[in-house]
Amino acid sequence: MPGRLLFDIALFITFLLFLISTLGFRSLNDKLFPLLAIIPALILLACEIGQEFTAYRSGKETEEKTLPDLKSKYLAVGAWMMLSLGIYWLIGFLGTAMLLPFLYLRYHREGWPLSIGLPLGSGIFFYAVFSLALEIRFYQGLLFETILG
Amino acid sequence: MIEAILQGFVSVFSAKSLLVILAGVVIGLVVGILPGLGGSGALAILIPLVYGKDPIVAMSFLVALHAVIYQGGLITSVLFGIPGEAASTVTILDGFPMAKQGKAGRALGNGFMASMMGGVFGGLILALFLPIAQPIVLAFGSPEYFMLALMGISLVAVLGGGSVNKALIAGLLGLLLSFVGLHQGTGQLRYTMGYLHLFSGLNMIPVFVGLFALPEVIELMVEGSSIARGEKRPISMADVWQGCMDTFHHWWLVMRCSAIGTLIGAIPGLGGAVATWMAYGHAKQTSKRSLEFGMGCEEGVIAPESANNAKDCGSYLPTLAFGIPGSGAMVLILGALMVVGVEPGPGMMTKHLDLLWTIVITLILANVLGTGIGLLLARDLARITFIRSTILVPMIILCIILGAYGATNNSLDVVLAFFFGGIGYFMKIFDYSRVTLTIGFVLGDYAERYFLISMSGLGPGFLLVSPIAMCLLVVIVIGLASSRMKKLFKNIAEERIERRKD
Repeated sequence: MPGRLLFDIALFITFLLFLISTLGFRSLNDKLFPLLAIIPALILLACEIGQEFTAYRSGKETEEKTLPDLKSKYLAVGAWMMLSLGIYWLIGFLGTAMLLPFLYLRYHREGWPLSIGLPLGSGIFFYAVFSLALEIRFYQGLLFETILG
Repeated sequence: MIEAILQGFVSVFSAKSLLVILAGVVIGLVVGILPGLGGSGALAILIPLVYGKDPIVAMSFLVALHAVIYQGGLITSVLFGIPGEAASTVTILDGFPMAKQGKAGRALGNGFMASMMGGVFGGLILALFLPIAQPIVLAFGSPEYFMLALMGISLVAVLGGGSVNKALIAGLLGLLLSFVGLHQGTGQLRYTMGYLHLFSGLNMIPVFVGLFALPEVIELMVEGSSIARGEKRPISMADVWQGCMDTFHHWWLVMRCSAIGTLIGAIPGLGGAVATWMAYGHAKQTSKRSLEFGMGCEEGVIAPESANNAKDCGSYLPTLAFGIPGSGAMVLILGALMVVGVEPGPGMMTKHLDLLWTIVITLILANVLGTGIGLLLARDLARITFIRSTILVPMIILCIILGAYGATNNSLDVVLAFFFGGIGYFMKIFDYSRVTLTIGFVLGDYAERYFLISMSGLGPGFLLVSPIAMCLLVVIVIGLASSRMKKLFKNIAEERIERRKD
C-alpha cells in the first residue's frame, strides 16, 4: 500500500478520534469551532482516500518521493532522530551537546581532531553562554537526576 | 511638541546614548541568533540591569535590543530553516530555499533591508499617530478582531499551493490543533489527553520548529551535502547588495506589508505571527510571480521581514499611549518603564514627551544600525550554507532542541518538536501544505475566542453593528474572489493562446 494512502488513512483516523473527543464536550461553545473544522476535513479526507485508492487499484498510483535505494538512509535518519531524543532524555542538554556531535562525526568517519574538537567546543559554548552567562537551567537528564537525586 | 522632538534627538545622539543603543543592538542581534531565548526572554533577563538608571538611557538600551531581535532571527531562518520566534517562521518559506540555491547572501540582503525599511516605516507611523492613536485603537473590538482572524484564515485559499483539498485539510488540522488546551470561555479541557503541559495549549515555537526545521534536517541528512546545493561558488558582497537592491525595487510591497505589520502590531492581542502571515499572503496574492512563492522568491522574504519589524513599532502605540501591552515583550517594556519610574499611558503624552520621542527615534536608529551590522556580516554568515552536513546536522539538531526547550523550559516541548518534525516531514513528501496548517494554528484560537465574545455580547448580528467589521468582510470577499477571478482569466487567456496556436 502506498505511503500516501497510509498517511491519508492515518489523518482520517486522527480526525475521527478528534470527533469522538469533541462529541464528549459539554456545551455548544466548546464543540462549535472544532466541529466546523472536523466535519469538512473528514469529507475531504474521504475524497482523498477514495482517489488514492482508485489510483492504487488501477495501478496508477503516484510515484513516491521515497525511492527504494534511499530506504536504508531514511531508516538511519529515523534512528538518529530517536537516538538524539533518547540521549537528550537520558543525559540532558549539555551532555547531548557533546555526545551527539561526537557520535555523528564518528559515524561519518570524520577525523579524530574534528570529532573531538567540535563536540568539546559545542559543549563549552552552550555551557558558557546559556548556563553561565544567561543562567538558564537546562534539563539535566534522567541519568543525572537519578544519580544526583 | 517640536521641543520634545528636538529633545529626543539630542538625547539619542549623545555619545552615551549612542553607545548604549549600539550595545543594545549587538546584544539584540546575538539574542535573535541564539535559539530558545527570544525577545521576551532577553528583556526579562536584562530588565534588572536598568534598575535605578536614567530612564532615557535605560529605555534606549531595551528598545534598541528588542527592535533588532527579528533581524537576528532572520539569520537562522534563512541559513538553517530554524525560526527563532513564531513570527520568523514565514521567512523560512522562501529564505531557506534561496539558501539551498546558493543565494543566502541575496536572501539576507533582502531580509535585512526589508527589516530596516519596515522598522523605519513603523517608527515614522508611530511618530505620526501617537498623538491621535486613541480612536484608532479603541475602534477595534471583538467583531473586528474576529474579522481580522477570518481574513487571515481566508489566506489558506491563496497560500495552499498544490492540491486545494490537501491545503484545506492541513488548514483544518491547524485550526483543530489551535483548540488544544483549556477553553478560556467555558473552562472545558480539549484534546489534552490528560497532559498538564497541554492545558495552556500547544506552544507555537516547538510546533513550528518541528514542522519546518526538522524536515530540512532530515533532507540534509539523506542528501549528505551542504545546505547550499550544487556548485560551490564564492559569496560576495555583490550578492548581498543585489538583495538590498531587490528590496528597493519592491519598495511598494515593503510599504504595504509595513502598513499591515504596523496596523496588526497596534491592535493588542493579535500576535506577531499574524502580521507576517498576512503580509506573506498579501504579497503572494498580489505578486505576478505568485507561483514562485515557496521556492525561493525574494518577495517572499521581503514581505514578512518588513511586516515583522513594522509590527514591533506598531505594538508600541497602545503600550505607550494607553499602557495596554499588545504582546509578551510589550508587557516587559511596560514593566521596564515602571522600573525606571515612568508611568506609561496617557500621562506619558504630557509628562514624559521627551522620553516618548527618544523611544521613537531609538526604534528607527536601532533598525538602521541592526541592518548595517547584519549586512556587514551577511557575506561571512552566508558561507555557513557551504559547510558540509556532517558538521551542520548535529549542531542544527542541538539548536532545534534548545529552541523547543527554551519556549517554556519544558522537555516535553522537545518531544513535541520531534513529533511535529515527523508530521512535517510526511506532510512535505505527501504534498500537504505546512503553511496552511500554520495559518490555521495561529488564527484558529483567535477566531473562536472573538466569535464567541461577539456572539455573547452583541448577538448573532454582531457584524452589522460594526462598520469596520463589515469593511473587513468585504475585503475578504474581494480578496477571495480576486484570486479566483485571476485564475479564471489566466485560464481563459491560456485557452485563447492555445486556440491561436492550433
